[in-house]
Amino acid sequence: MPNKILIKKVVHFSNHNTTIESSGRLISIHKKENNIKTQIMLPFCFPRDYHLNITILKRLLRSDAKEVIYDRVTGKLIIIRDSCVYLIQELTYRLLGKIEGDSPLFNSHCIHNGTIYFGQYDQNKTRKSSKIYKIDNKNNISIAYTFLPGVIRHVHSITNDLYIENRIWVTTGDNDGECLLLYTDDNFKNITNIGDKSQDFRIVNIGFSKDYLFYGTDNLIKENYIYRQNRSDGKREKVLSVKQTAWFLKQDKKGNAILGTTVENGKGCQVNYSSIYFSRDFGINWLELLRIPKDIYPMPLFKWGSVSFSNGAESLDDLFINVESLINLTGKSFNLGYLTNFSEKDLRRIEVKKKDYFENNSHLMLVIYRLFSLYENTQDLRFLNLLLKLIDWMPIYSISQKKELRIKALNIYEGINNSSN
Amino acid sequence: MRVLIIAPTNFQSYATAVLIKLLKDPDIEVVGVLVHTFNLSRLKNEFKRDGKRIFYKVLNKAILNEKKSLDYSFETPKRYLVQSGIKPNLKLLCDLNHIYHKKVSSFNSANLIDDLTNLKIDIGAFCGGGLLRNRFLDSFSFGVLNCHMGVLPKYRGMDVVEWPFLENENRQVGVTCHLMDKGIDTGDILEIVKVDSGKFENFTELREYLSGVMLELMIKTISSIKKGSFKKQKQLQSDGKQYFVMHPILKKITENLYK
Repeated sequence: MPNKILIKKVVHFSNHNTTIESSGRLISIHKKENNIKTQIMLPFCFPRDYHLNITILKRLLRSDAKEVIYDRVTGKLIIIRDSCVYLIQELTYRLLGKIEGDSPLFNSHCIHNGTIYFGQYDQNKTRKSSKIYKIDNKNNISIAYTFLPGVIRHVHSITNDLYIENRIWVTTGDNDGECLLLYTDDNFKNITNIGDKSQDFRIVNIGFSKDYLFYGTDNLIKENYIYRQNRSDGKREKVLSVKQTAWFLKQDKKGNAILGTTVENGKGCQVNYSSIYFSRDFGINWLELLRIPKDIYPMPLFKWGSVSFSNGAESLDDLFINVESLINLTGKSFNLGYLTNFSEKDLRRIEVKKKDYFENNSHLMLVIYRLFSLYENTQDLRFLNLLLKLIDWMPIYSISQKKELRIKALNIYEGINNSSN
Repeated sequence: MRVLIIAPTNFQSYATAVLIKLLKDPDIEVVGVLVHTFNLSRLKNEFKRDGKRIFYKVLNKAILNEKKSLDYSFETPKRYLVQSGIKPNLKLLCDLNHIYHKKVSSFNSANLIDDLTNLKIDIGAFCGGGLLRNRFLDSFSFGVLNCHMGVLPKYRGMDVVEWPFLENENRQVGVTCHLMDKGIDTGDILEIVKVDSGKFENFTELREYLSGVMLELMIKTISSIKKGSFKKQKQLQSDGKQYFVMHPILKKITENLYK
């Protein structure tokens, strides 16, 4: 049976050999080489596991929040949930210790020479000290670095530099003066900030090329951009203006990179949809692959509208995109390869046998959202034609959404037509 | 030169006109006519492809258009038949001329392929009736000809009379005679006739005009194959795009653009 396009789980790690997914406190591990599937149930947490399997309650209670850290070299699997750090061995878990803060920001840890680093991520309204934790080879948890009280709110990410051995990057937030872009070359004995600490340097994930860093900003008070920053002189250039805050970014060594934007409340968020951008040249040029509108549930109570990415993909085609609080696709994951490889062949298959093509309504909506971007990017009217047909094909209860999408599609057509005239 | 006509129904004007014109050519030996039976599965397939517009198409062809096509000043298959005093009925014409006539539910059955191989046919003149598979195509020594109502290789597939206007490619209107292969309009091109689309009132009139061009082109191409004066032009997949049935909203936009 072919793999499903949409998975109703959060995919934390996926490469050619291993996939680690979760739903609430249930963790599923699939070793593809031996086709071994294991499931581990983490301890029950109050109140986040009182969701009665109701999707909207799960969201409200942040039931899916957890950090899964998988070391592909040693096979070590650590899960952080509700301030507890667990070591997963075979079908059991062992509590290694507790940390401050709930769990780090999704997939924003790093593994350096077998040592795992992750940052404290919590509300920290009173600006107490914030910590960077490490777990060594012997599974001891300790503090690698402490930000003094008032210096930052929380740690956004910790990342290995792909080009400079032993260099680790740290990003922090959130307010002016708290947004640091730091690096250390000696395991946090010395750290250096290269930004101006303002929200212009409020960054979550970073990408790397030999001579540049690239990242999107998470600025809530001003317009956001994707930047490239020269490693040698620190100068940075705006590559692309984005209409929302940029959180997650992943890249592979071939220069492919993916960046997701988030719908939040703030001047930095000008639109009500989340976008996925893709670059094939280490962040120089970006193409918008998809826009998914925010759903109707209020923020931040029911989470911001965001997309996050799985770890582990040697080639970005293996990467999975997790969707949260976005219409039609919330709580679902899909493979990036499905978006980037969507082609003439799919167009033909849908036109000829659309009933056999779609798994469900979410799949139909994913294709509709993809066709919007494809039409805008290529101006190929066949994509608009299919888009209009698929909008007609949406369920009858989506009547207002159908109308809205149809108008949007025709507005794009008129916009393109007017600009070419 | 032995030719077989492949028709979608017994009563199609285009296939009947092709048959009559070929019968008049002393250098061509018309082997007969192969007709696709109209059954439920075919209706289902065509409905899948065309949607509800299949009913409008049938209605239009059967009643409205056929009448109107007589009013045009240019030649159309229907007009040609009326002027020749012939009613479109392939079965009757085959019987009168003592040539092969067969109705088949599928063009790809083993029995039919055996029949065709025994008949030793050079050319199939395809006038419609569905997709043809390789083994059917291989039973013709030269191949099966199709007159496509669009300019190849750029415009393959459906509604390619309208698509060029939506794409601001008004000069890419015409008819292409090509050899059929397993792809959609991807076989070798034999002849292209481009048409000045400016002189017609609407797409109905333009399509009627193109149906006359198709008739002439089919006959001309068969004749040039007979004389050996044809040229084959290969198509690469990347030379063109496949187009599909146009959405009614885009069709309306295109009609307005045409006006």
